[in-house]
Amino acid sequence: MTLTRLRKALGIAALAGAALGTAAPASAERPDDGLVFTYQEALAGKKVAFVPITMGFDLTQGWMAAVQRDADRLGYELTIRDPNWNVDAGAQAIEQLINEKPDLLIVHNNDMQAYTKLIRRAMSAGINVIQMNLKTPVNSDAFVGGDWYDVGVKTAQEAARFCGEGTSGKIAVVQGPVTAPPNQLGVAGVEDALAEYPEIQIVSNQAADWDASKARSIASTIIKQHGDLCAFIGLWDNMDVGIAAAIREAGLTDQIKLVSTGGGNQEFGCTNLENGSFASYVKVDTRDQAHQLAETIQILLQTRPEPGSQPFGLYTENKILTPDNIGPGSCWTLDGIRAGD
Amino acid sequence: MNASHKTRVSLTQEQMVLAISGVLFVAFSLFLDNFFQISNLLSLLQNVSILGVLAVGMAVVVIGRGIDLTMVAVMVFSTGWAFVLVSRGMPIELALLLGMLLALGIGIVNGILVAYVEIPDIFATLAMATVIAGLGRFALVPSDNIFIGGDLGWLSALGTGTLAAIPMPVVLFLVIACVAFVGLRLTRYGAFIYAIGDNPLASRNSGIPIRPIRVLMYGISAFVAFCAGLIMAMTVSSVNTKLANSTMIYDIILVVVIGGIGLAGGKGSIRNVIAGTLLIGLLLNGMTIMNISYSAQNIIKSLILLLAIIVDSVVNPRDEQTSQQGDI
Repeated sequence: MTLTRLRKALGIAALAGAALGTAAPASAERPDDGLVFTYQEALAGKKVAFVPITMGFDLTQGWMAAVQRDADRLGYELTIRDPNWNVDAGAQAIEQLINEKPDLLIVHNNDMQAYTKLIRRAMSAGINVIQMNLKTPVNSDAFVGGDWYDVGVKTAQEAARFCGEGTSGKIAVVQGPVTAPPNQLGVAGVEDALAEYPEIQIVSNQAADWDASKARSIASTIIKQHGDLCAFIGLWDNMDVGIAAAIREAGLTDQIKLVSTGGGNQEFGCTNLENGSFASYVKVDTRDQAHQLAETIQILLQTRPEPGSQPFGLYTENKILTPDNIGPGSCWTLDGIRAGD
Repeated sequence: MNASHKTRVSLTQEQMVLAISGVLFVAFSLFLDNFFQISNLLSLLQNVSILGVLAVGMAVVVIGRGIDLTMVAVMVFSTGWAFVLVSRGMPIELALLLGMLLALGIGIVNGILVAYVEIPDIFATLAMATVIAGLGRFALVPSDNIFIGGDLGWLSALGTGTLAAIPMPVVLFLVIACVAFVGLRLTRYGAFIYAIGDNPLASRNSGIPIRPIRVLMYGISAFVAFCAGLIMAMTVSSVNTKLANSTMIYDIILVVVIGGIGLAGGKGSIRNVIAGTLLIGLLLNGMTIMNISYSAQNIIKSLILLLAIIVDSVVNPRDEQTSQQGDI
């Protein structure tokens, strides 16, 4: 009872403060350009919720660093419900959020089907929905994320570039969990792209579950089996450091090229290009995605379309980094994004 | 009674596993190109050495009629935390010491829960594994993957160095196995662990301090888990805390059970762990060379675990009086 009363009192105080803070002095000081006040009003006090796969990895941390910056600057409220890889917990979090009715819901899909119904329900409850990094068959208001098929195609093309004339043409693929959609799409891209290079042969195609240690074991066995291997295709830098370790142990860094892919985190991406662990790196830039997400939030909070009525997509440009073309700004750090990079 | 029956009984599970390993080894050597070469065999051993180290720790607990489901969580979060501290500027030796103390602390808590609070081992450690994973993510290690950059000197030799051409992880596996063997076979405490595993009540009646020894057992397994984590971190220059949610703990139990250490306790030795590790290593290596798909590999592995458990309950039948499996 007292608590509710206290909350009410605080709410009124906050409202009064906001009114005093924004309306009175601001209108007195700055001229109205016809948009800036509607812009501020559209964002201030709005509720944005995010359900990630987990907050424990560089992608989600990078995105939220940029969004949190915007939230602080523009005065909207960011809620994160972390299900820590658990799809059921994620579904519950979304369900809970639908009841809480945020203005905008961001869903980081674990697979293509799991949240489909929930996304529809959120939209019919009047909540605008952004899908992040992986799209379900349902179109929501926006999609921001990687084009995983193209990532596979690009890594395969890079590997093919290394394995032309004068090499064995043997390539090994180390996948993540076989059921993870970015992995499935990536592998499909790899296989389709390599079909155009008849001289190249995939000699091994094994899954290492996004785990560096498993990847190392598999890679070391493959290297022993195919001493003349030309390249490895890895599908995530966090895992591919294990392949790099196996190549280094075998002393074949010059012969076996490792083509990796990832979000462009300085530690896992550029460091490994600089020290020669990766020969090429397809960057699905998390920093770009973070800014695109932050901008999409601003756009949707201002336009407030009927949920799902005007879907649009922002697919990340896949950039190829090699030891020759990387520079100081090629990769990002979390602190950098927090500081506005 | 008859001759064939007698032969079957006299063949221990360890010998069976070694025999199966021998058959697989010969078959792989004959039918798989490039299997039988020193470098492949060394990499085979290296690939299972971390699993082997973990299995040594698990074996100590299982012999004492316990089971430690926290090992993987302890492994990744104790080392993960240490390297997070290093990345924040702490000297590496101090950080590793703290990581080790964290592991030991968790082991002791496990032991106290089992020995003094008297929660069944499987539930105590199952709950603790979740606590460690949750607390670890919440308070100690912010990311699932911690990248270890830079040169760590002698430490990185733990993962990537060699001793007389043998990869360091294999050497360390053998050293840890030897220490455990000596500890179990030649010391009083080892004898106590066997006694407790064989019959806890009788051990207590004969004056063995079963509670402190149980705490010791879990302390050992946690310490071994930390060592395994360190070797793993040094081999791939990163720590993957997501392993705490993986099925790796079952792989460890698989090695222990398949080697012939009865889950009922009191039986088996480190030799069994080595036999089990070899068989799993052979299987994994062969299946990778044959490019068998991931799901099929999982089916094969789990069928083998099932088979091993069946063999375990046939070889160590349930005792009528105590309804304890394998009790004498």
